[in-house]
Amino acid sequence: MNFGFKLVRIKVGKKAKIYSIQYDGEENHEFHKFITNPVVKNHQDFQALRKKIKELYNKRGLLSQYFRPEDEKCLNPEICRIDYGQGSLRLFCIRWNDKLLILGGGGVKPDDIRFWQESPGLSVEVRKVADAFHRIKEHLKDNHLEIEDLLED
Amino acid sequence: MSREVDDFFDEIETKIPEDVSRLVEKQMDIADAIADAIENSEFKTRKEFAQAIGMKESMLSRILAGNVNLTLKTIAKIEAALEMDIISVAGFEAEKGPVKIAHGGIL
Repeated sequence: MNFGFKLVRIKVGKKAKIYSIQYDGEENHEFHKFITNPVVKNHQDFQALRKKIKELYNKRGLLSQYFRPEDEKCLNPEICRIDYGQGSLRLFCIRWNDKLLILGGGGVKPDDIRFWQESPGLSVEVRKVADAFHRIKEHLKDNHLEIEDLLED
Repeated sequence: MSREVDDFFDEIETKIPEDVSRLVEKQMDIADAIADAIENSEFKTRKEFAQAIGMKESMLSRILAGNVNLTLKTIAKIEAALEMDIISVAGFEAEKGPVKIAHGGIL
């Protein structure tokens, strides 16, 4: 692949596989950055979000009802987030299908804003995930590939 | 894979407090049970169901995402609209043919 990132496997569960986006030249993937961010790690919903992710990959599968759509144009429900509680802690992702989840980064929505568009940090994270989604789709189409062809061990 | 990512997954059962773990599981069990019940009800869409019980569609979405710590009052309202039990209390299940929450649906 030469579209600026690779998809690295981070977990294979009974119900789904989880990958993350790792940009060229970067040491860590986006999910690693998310879980090592002190603001995220210390958030009151971090442990619950962690449990929810396990429920998804090991027990329930990636049903669309568990995800909140995040595509600005509302055209691509695959671009979404996992959150918990009031939705202040947000992990942006691509729900490719019921069995494949590609995690991006995320962050904490400040209490004094309503939408992520009002947060420069969250805006960057959502748009990175959206951009990755479009690049993957385009790459698959142009090269007549399946998503499995892009997944790294 | 990095140690941080390994720890994130490997220590889920040992590091997450039991009450938090149970809460998330039960919220998702209830979400699944409600989703199944709506699917099998006379309501054609989730939007229609939300309107019928006077709930915003966005709130119903949050419930079905397993994100909401529902009050008994709200559960009772949902049960009444769906004409079925969503939860039951252990030991008090005899007459009505209780509905127990199971992983991924209703038993």
